[in-house]
Amino acid sequence: MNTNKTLADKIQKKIKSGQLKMKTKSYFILRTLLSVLAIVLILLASVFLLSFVLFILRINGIWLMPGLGIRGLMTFFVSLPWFLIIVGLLFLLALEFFVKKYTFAYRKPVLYSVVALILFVGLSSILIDRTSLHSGWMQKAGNNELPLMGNMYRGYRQMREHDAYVGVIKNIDQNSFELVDKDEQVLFVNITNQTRIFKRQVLQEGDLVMVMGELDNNKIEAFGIHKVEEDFRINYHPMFRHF
Amino acid sequence: MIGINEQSKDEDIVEAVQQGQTEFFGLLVTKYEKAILRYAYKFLSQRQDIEDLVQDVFVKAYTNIQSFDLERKFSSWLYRIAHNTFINALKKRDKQPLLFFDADTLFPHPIAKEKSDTLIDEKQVKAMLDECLQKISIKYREPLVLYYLEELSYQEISDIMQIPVSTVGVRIRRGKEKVRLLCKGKGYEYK
Repeated sequence: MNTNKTLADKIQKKIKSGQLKMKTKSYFILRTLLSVLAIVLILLASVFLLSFVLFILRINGIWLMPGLGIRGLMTFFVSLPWFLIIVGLLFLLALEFFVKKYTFAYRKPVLYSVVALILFVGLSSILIDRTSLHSGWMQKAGNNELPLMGNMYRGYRQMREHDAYVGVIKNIDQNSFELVDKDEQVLFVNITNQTRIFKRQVLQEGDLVMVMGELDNNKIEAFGIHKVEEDFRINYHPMFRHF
Repeated sequence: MIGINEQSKDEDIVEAVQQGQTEFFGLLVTKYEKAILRYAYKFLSQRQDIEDLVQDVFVKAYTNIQSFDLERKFSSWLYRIAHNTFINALKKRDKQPLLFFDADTLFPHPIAKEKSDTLIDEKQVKAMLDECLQKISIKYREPLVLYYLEELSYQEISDIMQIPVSTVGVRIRRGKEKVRLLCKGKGYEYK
């Protein structure tokens, strides 16, 4: 009991002498506000980043690749913007770090808050991707009217490393056709037994298609061909609007 | 704020302190010093600086008292400060990195019933804890101490350790099993 009094007295003495001071209420209010602001900012950044990833997957035709067999799937994984995906995952980790300090998050298994965050960020990104935000900014970046993020948009505008070419079919026969891209460049496409045509679509002159294969002197040995639908071209794919 | 004395509710005392009647903070120190000291001895094992650490807990509690939400329980808030202080002291001593996620906290577990032990079982567990507690890891030692020795609920332990309530149940069950195995040689036969 004596010890109790001693510690209480010691602390009381420090309080009276001014050696021990309590932090003000406004300090804690400000700290909470900053913490909430950090969560909101990281959340917005995550949504922006993921919607941008979805956007560049579309404009580069990367999301059509898994429909073109194992080779298409492999090319799809190689072509994914891994840097952006890793940055997005780091954002998610930071979000979880901030969120798990709150009662509603830590009382439940981590999985629940992670799934909730992924769902929120995922659904919001899909919605943002449906707006004209990214295509508008991409256009501005093309005209050098977008400061700060202009380079990012220009850099991801056309990812050619995955050997995918988009254009309109001309002069088609059984084993080949000409592919006219948006710059009016003509590429000669060979169709072989190894060529996988998505869902065995019937190809016709005038069809807009994505051809996958290695380009060699304006000739492509196609390993995959995927037709691009009209509504998709008009509504969701800014690059295809050129046709 | 009038009528604050040793019998007053913790939260009423805190409210008085928050409003500037700092002389009442001593009542909280007197009331909780023994409990925090006991928690520290069980949690940290043999250390020279335990009393300094306990003093540090109360210093931090006073410094941060304006952040205390009067709707919540003061004891849980104080234990949370003690938990952080002791964990930091252990990390400093053992130079252990902080784990961001523990596998136990990731997935849902069925919530074990609180008070599932009979009175005799509970006495046995407490006796075993006195004997063998220091031999098990902090991860299991802390919930066992808080549950059996400090007699806190799963919910309170969840708030102190900031882990899911179901994980508290899992750690207590596993910890009890570990203590049972470790204490076997000492003649305890808790089942």
